[in-house]
Amino acid sequence: MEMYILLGFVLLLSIFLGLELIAKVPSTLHTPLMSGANAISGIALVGALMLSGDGQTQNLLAFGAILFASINVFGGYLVTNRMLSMFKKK
Amino acid sequence: MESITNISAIQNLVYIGSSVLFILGIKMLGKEATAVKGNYLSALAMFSAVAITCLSLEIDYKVIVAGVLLGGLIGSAIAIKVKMTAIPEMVALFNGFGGLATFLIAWSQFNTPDNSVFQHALIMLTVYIGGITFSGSLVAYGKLSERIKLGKGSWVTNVLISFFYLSLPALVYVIFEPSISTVLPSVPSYFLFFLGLTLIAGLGFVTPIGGGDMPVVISLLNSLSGIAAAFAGLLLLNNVLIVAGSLVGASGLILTVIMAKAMNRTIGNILFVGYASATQSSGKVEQGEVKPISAEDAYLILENASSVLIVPGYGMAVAQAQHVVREKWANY
Repeated sequence: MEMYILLGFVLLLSIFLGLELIAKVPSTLHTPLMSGANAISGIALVGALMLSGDGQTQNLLAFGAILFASINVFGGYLVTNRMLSMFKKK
Repeated sequence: MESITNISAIQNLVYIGSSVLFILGIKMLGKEATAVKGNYLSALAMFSAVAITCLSLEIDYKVIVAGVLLGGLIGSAIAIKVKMTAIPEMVALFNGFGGLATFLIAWSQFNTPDNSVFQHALIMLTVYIGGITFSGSLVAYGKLSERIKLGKGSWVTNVLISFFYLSLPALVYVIFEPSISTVLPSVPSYFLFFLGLTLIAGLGFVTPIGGGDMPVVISLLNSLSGIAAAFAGLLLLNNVLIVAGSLVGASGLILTVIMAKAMNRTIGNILFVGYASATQSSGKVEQGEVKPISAEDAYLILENASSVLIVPGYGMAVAQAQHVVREKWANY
């Protein structure tokens, strides 16, 4: 239980940090920022890699989680990068 | 579970490092000059967190290699090939896949033996948020790419909405299932029912919302997928999942509020009232309507205008119009 209290502490602090980080963002950057944050939520890939268990069901669930999280990560970062390249001054 | 608690010290140190990089990355993404660099930083953070996790794998490495390779290939192919104007709906689709991943993670954890009451509750919450994010994002994708034309008022929409409201008490039931199944009759395969109900509920959550409000909804769903990842982190006792997940959850929520404000709307108005009734309502909140016009009409109106306010957005950047606008602006 002590572990959960510690992790709950980390959770709360990160939430406050997240709220503070996005205070003043120019509206041109709303969509790229959303896309960039979306790529970060692909961190679920780390969770998918930590899955355990034997048997076909567990392997299939892990494979699915890894597959979809990877699509999220790769697609998310590449798309964000493409979007940001639009903002470069010609 | 026991193997997860002894993640080596090195792994945790790297997790701290990548958490810091994620924070810096998001911060830099919020400024035009540093945005590209910020994206690279957060990609570096992602890479190091994933790489160090690979040091202690429990499932067959073939499953992992196959999943990452295939997923990376599909994701990259979509990202490179997609048309610039179609990117917002692609973000919705990717976000949905992230939600699906947390949904599957929680499902897999449900199948492991000896979950405590607290872990059981976490599993159900993660399934619910992940599932809503997945099916909701699919609808958002369908609406933006104009594949789904269902709107408010259609009977299908109304049925889906009822499922959404049905899912809320169902969520409460499954969270407390271990403790109340001694009192109430327990449903043997309730978990599978709940998985299905969650997915339908996600459809009901987004379907009544109009296509024009989709960017705000996608931002909200993005925030939800972050929260789901943070819950999955609590479930798996993983620091970096919690930090990155709740960063996305919180910043996504703020971004949603900012985007809604930029449209002169509130989030409650967008989610539960809808566009059609928003224009009818009167009150202190200013309401407006977007009026598309042709170039000639715009010229006539602008020629006679005494003052013009230009609000740049993603559309302007896609059209590469921002530099032209800036040059013209400098002439006045």
